[in-house]
Amino acid sequence: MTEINSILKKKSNTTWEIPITYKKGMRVPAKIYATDKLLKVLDHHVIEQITNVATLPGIQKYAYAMPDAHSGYGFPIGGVAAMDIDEGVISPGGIGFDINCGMRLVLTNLTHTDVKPKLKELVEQLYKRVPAGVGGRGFLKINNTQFKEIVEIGSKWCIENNYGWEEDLEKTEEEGSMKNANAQKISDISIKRGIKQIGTLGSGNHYLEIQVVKPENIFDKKAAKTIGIFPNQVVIMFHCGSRGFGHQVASDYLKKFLHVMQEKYKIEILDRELACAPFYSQEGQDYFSAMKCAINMSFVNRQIILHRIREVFGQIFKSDPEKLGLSMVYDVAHNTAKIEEHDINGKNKKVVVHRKGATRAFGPGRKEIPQKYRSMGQPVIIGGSMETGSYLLLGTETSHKETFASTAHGSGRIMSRTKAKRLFHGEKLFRDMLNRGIYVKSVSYSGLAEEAGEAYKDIDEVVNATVEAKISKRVTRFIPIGNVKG
Amino acid sequence: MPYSYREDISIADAAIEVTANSLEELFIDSAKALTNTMIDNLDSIKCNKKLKIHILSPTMEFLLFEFLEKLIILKDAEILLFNKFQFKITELSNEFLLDGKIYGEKINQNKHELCADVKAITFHMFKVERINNNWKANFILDI
Repeated sequence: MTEINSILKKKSNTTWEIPITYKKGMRVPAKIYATDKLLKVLDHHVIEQITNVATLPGIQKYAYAMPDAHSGYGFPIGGVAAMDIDEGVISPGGIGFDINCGMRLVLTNLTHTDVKPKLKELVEQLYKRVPAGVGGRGFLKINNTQFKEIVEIGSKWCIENNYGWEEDLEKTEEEGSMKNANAQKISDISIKRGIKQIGTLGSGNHYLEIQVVKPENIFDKKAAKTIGIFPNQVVIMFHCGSRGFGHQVASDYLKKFLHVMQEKYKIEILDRELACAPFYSQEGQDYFSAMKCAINMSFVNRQIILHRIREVFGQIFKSDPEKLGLSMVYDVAHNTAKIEEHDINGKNKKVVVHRKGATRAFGPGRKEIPQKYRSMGQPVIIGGSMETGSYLLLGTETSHKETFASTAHGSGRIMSRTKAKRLFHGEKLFRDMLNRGIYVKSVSYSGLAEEAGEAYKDIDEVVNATVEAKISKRVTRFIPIGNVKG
Repeated sequence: MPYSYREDISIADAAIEVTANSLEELFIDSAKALTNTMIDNLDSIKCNKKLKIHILSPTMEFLLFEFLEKLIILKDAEILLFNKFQFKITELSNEFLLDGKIYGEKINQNKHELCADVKAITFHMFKVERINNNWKANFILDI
């Protein structure tokens, strides 16, 4: 801690800077968002990684670490960096292997009292209908041509094939489809990895959770009402990404970039996982097009999962999913690169915003936000551990000035998976959670131990940091009551 | 144990160190470490599926990388996990060849005690080195 304190310069209660002089090659300073409490548990590799990010060509203003930051590869998880579109680079390490890992929040008109007697049945059925874990396979039977069509079109394919409602599109970031996704730029191997996985959760920190809104956890009553949230309501939140397809797209291009970066573009980097290419180079554009395919596949993945959720709730409550109020709040992406316009030194500039384990948090008035929420700001969903709970927040105007309209995405780990498996016993964890009213169904107890709540930062503290820094504002907190994990 | 999981680095993922007496052993134990990250009991994988494997790479280090990547790809594409490996590694004039067979089983969630899914082998701290007459590999798997 003393060592970190000597590196960081405190700028406010929630912002810390590392000067450009800290490391040779830094083009901008680094900025870390954290409270004092979060700083005490900050993984010190984050410092190394975020200052490496600060050396990338074309980076603007700062290299940012969000309050939930922990070490990753190249970029830390919880890292944000915006590159000048003409002079800057695109870096797969700044997006991550799980392209468009993201969160979706779904309402119901059911209360905790309605759901409690059927909770175990709901979780068991969701576990059956939404495959999770190693080897999990989706129900869609599609060929390569159809897969390519899906990754180019995105969520709209689901609506056209009766796997969703028209209104779902507007409530998904990018309306569930990144334009100009080009399936010519993805490998056959990446298709082979992903073609059986549409409609699956994955494992690790991915989950499908049934949650409750306690009355005392509604912080912004007006926003909650507009969104459709009420006391004792049951909601559903799930977290997953582009599965093997996205992972392979990232791997394919990381290798390609390593191959051309130094020889062709004379770019020197401090970490192989920061491999990059000029955004407008052939390689940069090929990756951008392929990345968009993976983003679209992930939107489709979450749309198919929502379809299954609606089916299960409909069957168990013997009612139409529409009558049960199973409409979406929003779907956010955590791992992406997007072209956005931001104010830099008084000028509107196009930049490529890399968010790796960070959520876009557009403030009020932005045209990208669904009409229903536009005057309030973009919904932001931040997931906690399976034992603690999660949050719904809104993006703010300040986030545009502070962090290229970005905020945290989750709790952030403070303990390795190996250590968590050593310290916690999955079966005991299951029983403890059951005693506390949380019914969890997991593919394995071993996987459950890795996800113990104590392996994560305090979600309330992470959210406090984003609120104090004014890059998000609270709407509601959710308490878990049921969980499906891979 | 020829491989161990490091707790001090890469807290979200699996950091592995492997030591072996020969290059083939290093590759086999690295493959087992990868598989062991996804399944608690390696012995529960029956070897009833056989696949040929043939990889050419410019460096020894990259050969291990591509070998581990191949196993991850097969895990998703063919729903297979592997527990037995028979191959030879040969140094050619300007590349390295891994040629042989790998044996495994279709993943069965009811039978196999599965853990976390491996997304990718990363370049982060990836290293293969010869120390006296032994070999050592360090790599990190993205979970």
